[in-house]
Amino acid sequence: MDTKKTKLLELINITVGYNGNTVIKDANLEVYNDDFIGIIGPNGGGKTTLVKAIVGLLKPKKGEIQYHFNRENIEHSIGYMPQVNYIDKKFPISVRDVVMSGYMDKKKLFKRFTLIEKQKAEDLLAQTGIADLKKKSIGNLSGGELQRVFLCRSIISSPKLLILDEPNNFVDNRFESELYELLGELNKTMAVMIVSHDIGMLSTYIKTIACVNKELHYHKSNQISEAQLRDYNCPIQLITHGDIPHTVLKHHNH
Amino acid sequence: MLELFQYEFFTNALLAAILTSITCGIMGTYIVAKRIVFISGGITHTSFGGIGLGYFLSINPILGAAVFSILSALGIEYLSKKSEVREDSAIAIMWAFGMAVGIIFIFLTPGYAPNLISFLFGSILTVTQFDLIIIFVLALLISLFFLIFYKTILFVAFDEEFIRTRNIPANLINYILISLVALTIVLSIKVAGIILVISLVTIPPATANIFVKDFKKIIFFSIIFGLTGSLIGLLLSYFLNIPSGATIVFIQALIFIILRIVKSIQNQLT
Repeated sequence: MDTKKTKLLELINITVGYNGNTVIKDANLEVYNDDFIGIIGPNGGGKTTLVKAIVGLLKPKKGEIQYHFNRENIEHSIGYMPQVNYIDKKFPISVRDVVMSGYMDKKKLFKRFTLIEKQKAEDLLAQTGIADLKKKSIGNLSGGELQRVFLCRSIISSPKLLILDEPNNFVDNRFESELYELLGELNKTMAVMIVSHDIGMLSTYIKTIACVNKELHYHKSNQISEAQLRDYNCPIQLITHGDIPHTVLKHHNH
Repeated sequence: MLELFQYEFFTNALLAAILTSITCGIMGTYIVAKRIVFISGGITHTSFGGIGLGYFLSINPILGAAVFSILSALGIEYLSKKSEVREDSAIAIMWAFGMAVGIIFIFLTPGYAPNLISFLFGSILTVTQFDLIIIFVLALLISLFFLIFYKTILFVAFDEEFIRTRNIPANLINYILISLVALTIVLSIKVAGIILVISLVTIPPATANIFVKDFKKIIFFSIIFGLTGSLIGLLLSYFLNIPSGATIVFIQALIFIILRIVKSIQNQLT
């Protein structure tokens, strides 16, 4: 890496939760422009809560999040791909409109989208292999296709940081490997943070690991052992695909 | 048939039907797409409290209904963001409470008991010029709001959370829209009455949704289907001498059923 590292954002001792419940306690993290961080942890451990705090949907109860983006286009600096299962799939909206909504910000309230912006949406759809679906309503898409649409939405504004919340849920293996390849490509121009219950497949792309289970332990390597996971108080389930035993991550070979 | 248009009551009814088809077509598409039909039902019935209070205080009942419905709409929107409130129970309570208040005040109103039936089942043939002006202003307001903020409305309705990450005032948009829903419903009460008005905002979009799956197109076809149903219903009710609100709703439902069957047959053939 010969380019200079720049800090994108910083979590300083943040505590986050809903109503009376604290989900994340005193978390610290620094994110740099070329990071590829895998966020792992048990269900209910606070992975999604952490993501929501970073994208600004949840205000920390304590501590603060400092963003070091260019102030000009602050909204577009983070590309956010939420879990798609909460989306109403029967909502009458076309694929193209969903992707275009990735351009939305305050300045766009009264303005129309430009031709260049519309062209970018078409290009992205072509790049992800779903160009022929652009006029289709989202109700006609498969899980994998819908994920691609949401990915297009999250990267259309050329963000500095892309955050994906469990993008490998409800998709076929073929899309999963395509997605990871694409993320590896995107990582050349933006930082990537990915929440995943199964980052075994991702381990070639991930550079560092954040273990989240109420506390956040940042592991500055893409290799982690079960013992370390125990130390981080971060028990995660091992996932098996078929007969092949599938470890979550590589073991350390001391 | 042409001599019908010489009667002011009939041209007024016709204009009311046209304007209502526009307001209900646009807001109905939003209601159906966002799945807030039950909320809209709650707002409708709560407004009856305002009608009763209006009679009791001898002010325009529709004004009372507008105040009640907007307050209940804003209340429901506010509660829906509080996770500790069971939203559907809260709506049902407001629904019943509004009706109760309305009945009590109408009972307490001294002298001539106002025509309850016309508020419950509508009376499009008694639409006044003043009613028309208010509906026209609302239709204009809604059309302009949707023309200017179409994409914002669409994106907030579809995925509010994502839009929130872009610093768009989603709450404000939601409050404005739910208030417009309330006003649309209240000003449609003259057409179909409290009991049937929910059908004016649900049947046309549902019918349009059989054939088109795009928000903008559903708005367009909702207005067309709403218009067709109201005009046929209005004429039919006049010639058969049956209640117009019920006839309009009946025809709209009939169109929905027929087209649904047509679509099923079409699907089987392909």
